[in-house]
Amino acid sequence: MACIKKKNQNNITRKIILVLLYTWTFVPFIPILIWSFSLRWNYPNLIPEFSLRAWKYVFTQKNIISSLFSSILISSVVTAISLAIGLPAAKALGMYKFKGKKLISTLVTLPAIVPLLAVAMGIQVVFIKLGLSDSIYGVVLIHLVPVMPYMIMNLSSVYEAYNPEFEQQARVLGANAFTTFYKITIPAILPGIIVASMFSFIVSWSQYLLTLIIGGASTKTLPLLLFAFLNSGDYAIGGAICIIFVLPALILLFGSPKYFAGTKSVRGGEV
Amino acid sequence: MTKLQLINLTKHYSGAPEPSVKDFNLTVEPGELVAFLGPSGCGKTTVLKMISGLLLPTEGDVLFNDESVIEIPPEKREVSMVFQKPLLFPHMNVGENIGFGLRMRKQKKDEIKVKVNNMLELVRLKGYADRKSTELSGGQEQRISLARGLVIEPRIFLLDEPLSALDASLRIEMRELIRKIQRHMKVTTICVTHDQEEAVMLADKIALMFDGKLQQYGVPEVFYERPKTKRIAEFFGCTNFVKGTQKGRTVATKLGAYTLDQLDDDNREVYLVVRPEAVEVSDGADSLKAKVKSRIFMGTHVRYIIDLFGKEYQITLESATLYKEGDIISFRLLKERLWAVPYDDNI
Repeated sequence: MACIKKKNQNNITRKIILVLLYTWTFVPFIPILIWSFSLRWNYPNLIPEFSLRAWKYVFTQKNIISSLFSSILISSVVTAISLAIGLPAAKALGMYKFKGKKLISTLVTLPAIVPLLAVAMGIQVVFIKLGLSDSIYGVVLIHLVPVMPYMIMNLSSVYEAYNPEFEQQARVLGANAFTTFYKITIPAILPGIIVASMFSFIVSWSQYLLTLIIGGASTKTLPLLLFAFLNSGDYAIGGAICIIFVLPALILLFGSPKYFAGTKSVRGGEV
Repeated sequence: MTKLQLINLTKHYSGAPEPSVKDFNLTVEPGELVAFLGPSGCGKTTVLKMISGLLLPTEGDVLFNDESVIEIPPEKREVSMVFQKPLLFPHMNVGENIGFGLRMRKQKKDEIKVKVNNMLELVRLKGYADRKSTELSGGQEQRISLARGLVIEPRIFLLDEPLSALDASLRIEMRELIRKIQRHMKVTTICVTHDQEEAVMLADKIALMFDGKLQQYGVPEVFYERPKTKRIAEFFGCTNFVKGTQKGRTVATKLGAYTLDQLDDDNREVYLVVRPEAVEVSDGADSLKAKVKSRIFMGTHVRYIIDLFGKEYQITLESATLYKEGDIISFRLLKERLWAVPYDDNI
């Protein structure tokens, strides 16, 4: 009985924490959502005047659409590049033992700890010399700095649990190295790749400072535009952009848990 | 059916002080089941991986039917291997897992289906083809793994401690299943194990390995009755070694002199090997008298720890007559079951 009682209590605690978390996450969006559908919202009105002006504006203004696309483009390219670099790096860190592994792990996580402003100020000088400043290439490159730690840390934990004998098993069953990689390795670590990619996308997606410093005026991403509208005081349009801006994070929040399931499958069985 | 020959097979990992496997020579006749037996870390799995092509030997050769396969990569060697873990591909269902090797060989879909179902029947999991591979019990997983390895009809079938992760009753059931299927398919098979009971019950022949070297190769009985060294006898459960001198075929020890027809003529220092069960209760002139120090009841038999001339020995007698602690047992050694191994100071 005591056991059941404790279990019930645990369940209730869990539910309370969940409700608090959801409140914490979503309540701030309520005023933003209301703002995005309003014409004005002046004191002492409790409810604003309803209007679709902001949404119409967002979906018709060329600069908003184009900044949305450049944001998607930059974050996608950054994610793809970081995946290409991160996969082998994470495999080495997760599966092999070698000298200096701890040092390299620390160095890899460093960009997530060091203030990015310091990094950006230093790199900007180099980028100007190389002609990478004020260009989309420069922005992609500088986004890789904060993105790589997330990509490599996420993937290496997948590789740590991954049993390399899967590949040996596939080989002796008749699969060559290439077939083994795309038929066995990739599907086995796919959930990890998806989670790591989503994280990387979000980190790149929400960069403001780095894009501003390196991209200058030439590369307008969504966060840059968002700041401009908020500064101008047009909360309705700012609110609408804000909703679009936060969408990928929400997808991550609701989409990823199923990929965080146990690691039994990548280990190859219980022993 | 394929004959397997290993010639001077050696593997020296870079950085390791000693080779993991050294000058390993072995011939496995077509259709035989051989157990590689030895303590963990003795190089059994390394030999297995060199046969499969997953590891390249530092020196030596692997022959299938007298032809070297050393240049052939694992996927083309027609060898199949079952590992300690079942390693079922998690993104494929049971049928897809079993059919993997056949798909790699580009066989037709309907042919694959028939073969997969036949294999499932053989491992007693008929109707499991559409099950998720992540929803099986440990024993079922290992049976699917077995089926996946055998369905490609490999020239050599390798098993790397496939039963060690299973619980005792399941292990016995699987052991019998492996034996039955192996006989049925007549595939040359090597099974790695560190469990001597498993090796004895499963294999036609045993290859015993210590420290990367083959110690003795032969049918299971040989390891009980004719071990080459004291260490081998110990590995197979013998605890009684009496120092003595062999002249011709006669071994003289403090327990008496025994002329053993099974020995070759020699003059040397030896240990007389007395298996615990190589004794019988006797009151004759040649009988020995020993005091019981303690006993272990084992059901049909009783193991007695006895004191003989101030040294401890172990003997096993039938449990029909029970001796108590402090009793005197009068017994004699069964001459035809005694054996002698070279004396070695180091052991």
